[in-house]
Amino acid sequence: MNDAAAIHLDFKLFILAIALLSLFYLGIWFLAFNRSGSAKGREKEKWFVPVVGLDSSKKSFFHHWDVRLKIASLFSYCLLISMISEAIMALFALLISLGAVLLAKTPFSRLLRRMTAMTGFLSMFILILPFSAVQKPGDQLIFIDPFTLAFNLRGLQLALTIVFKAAAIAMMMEPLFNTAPLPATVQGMQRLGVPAVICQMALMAHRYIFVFLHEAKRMNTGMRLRGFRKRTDMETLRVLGNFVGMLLIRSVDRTERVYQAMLARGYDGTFPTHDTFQATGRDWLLGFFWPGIALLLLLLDSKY
Amino acid sequence: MHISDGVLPISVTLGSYAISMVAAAWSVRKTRAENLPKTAVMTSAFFVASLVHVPLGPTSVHLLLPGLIGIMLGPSAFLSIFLGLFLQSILFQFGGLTSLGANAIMMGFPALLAGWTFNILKRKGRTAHILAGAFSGGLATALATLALALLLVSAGEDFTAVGKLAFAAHLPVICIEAIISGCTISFLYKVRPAFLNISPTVLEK
Repeated sequence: MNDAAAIHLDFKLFILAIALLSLFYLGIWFLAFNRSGSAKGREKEKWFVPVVGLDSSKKSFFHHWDVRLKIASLFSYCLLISMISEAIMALFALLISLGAVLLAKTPFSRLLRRMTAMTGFLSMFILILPFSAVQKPGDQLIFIDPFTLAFNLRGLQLALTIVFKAAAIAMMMEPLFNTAPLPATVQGMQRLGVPAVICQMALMAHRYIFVFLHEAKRMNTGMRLRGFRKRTDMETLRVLGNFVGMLLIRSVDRTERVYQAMLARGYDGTFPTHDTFQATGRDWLLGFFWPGIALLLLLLDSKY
Repeated sequence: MHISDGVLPISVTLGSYAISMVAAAWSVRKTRAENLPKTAVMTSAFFVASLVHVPLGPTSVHLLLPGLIGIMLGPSAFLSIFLGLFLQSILFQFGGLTSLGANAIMMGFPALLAGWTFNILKRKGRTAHILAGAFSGGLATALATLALALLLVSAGEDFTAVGKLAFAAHLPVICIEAIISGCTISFLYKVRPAFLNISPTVLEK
């Protein structure tokens, strides 16, 4: 551990820190699940797909912004933010994104859902990196006395940077995708160079998710009525395998009917759209604002 | 099983975007024009199937199904996975928009390989089909997990332990995926054998 600054920590303090951390996670867990409450509610929660691109009645400048510029601007903001390497700058990015969400007036519950979806993956970094980060000269280490484990503060900082950046980018998804109907957003992506085929398929796949979700829910209800309960055993896996198989058979059959219906309505490989785009000076100004602020953060980040 | 935003260095983010765009374009070319809408509909089915949670002791894991996607869709599988991951990231925040390229590589290439191994390994008879399906499903998930670990390690030397842990944590998932793939193939073999005889994709009847 050469030049690394070492601090020795009492075991009791370590336990206290762990307790505080678990309390924090319990809080997040409670926030995420208190709406569904019981175990039955959680079972339902797993068959839930949030709707994206639902225009809220509350309009903001994000809603009036030219979709092409909005996508280009916010996506470059996200890419630039992902290059930040200091925790404090990442925290600033997080606050800026939070500001954007507040300005966009998208429902807070959706934001919370996004944040909780990431906790599992991100907590892995918080829990592992402080102990696994390679010890370099100048690192501050905290030793927890009865063990030989060293808690590396640089590792913790690294983990926090990742968490803040991930949250900052995820938050930006709200103004990016929830301030215009999804077809308009996808149309904008197409104008920016995403192949038309991919855009078309994304819209179709999105539409049929809710059709198959309905089907899956009905099948699930039927299975529960016939007494099926999930357990950790072979029988459960066999039944779930059949469930997936049944869902696939029904969907393949449906693809044929969907395609025939599309042909009957004059489908020729393209979706007609009526969206027209018009970018005003204000749109361009906004378009430069977000990457600009991200660039500023990056500049400060490299100077730090 | 999805890498979130803010983890990968920008070089990996952009590089994997470029690679997955090329692979998606290849996948589109390999899919007949009339099968593109059908592939989109199948993508939604796989999306919903991946919402199935399998209990594993005190917790539960959700299905990934890269193997089955590869077996059912053949060369169109990459496109399907790319779309599915895009929708998962904008709807659920599983993965992320900036890490979409990396996640598509992680899941898409193993799926293509699974479709290929299934076609090579399958022999006459139900048991042979089940074994080929289970092997391909397990292999695809194992490779996806390996890709996850490698991508995490690409973020820097500090991430080696995280990569190893992510790999270890997914070992039970590999077994579950293998068994589920085998069971699904067994079901399809009994109920709709036509799905498994076709060579490139299910949709070309």
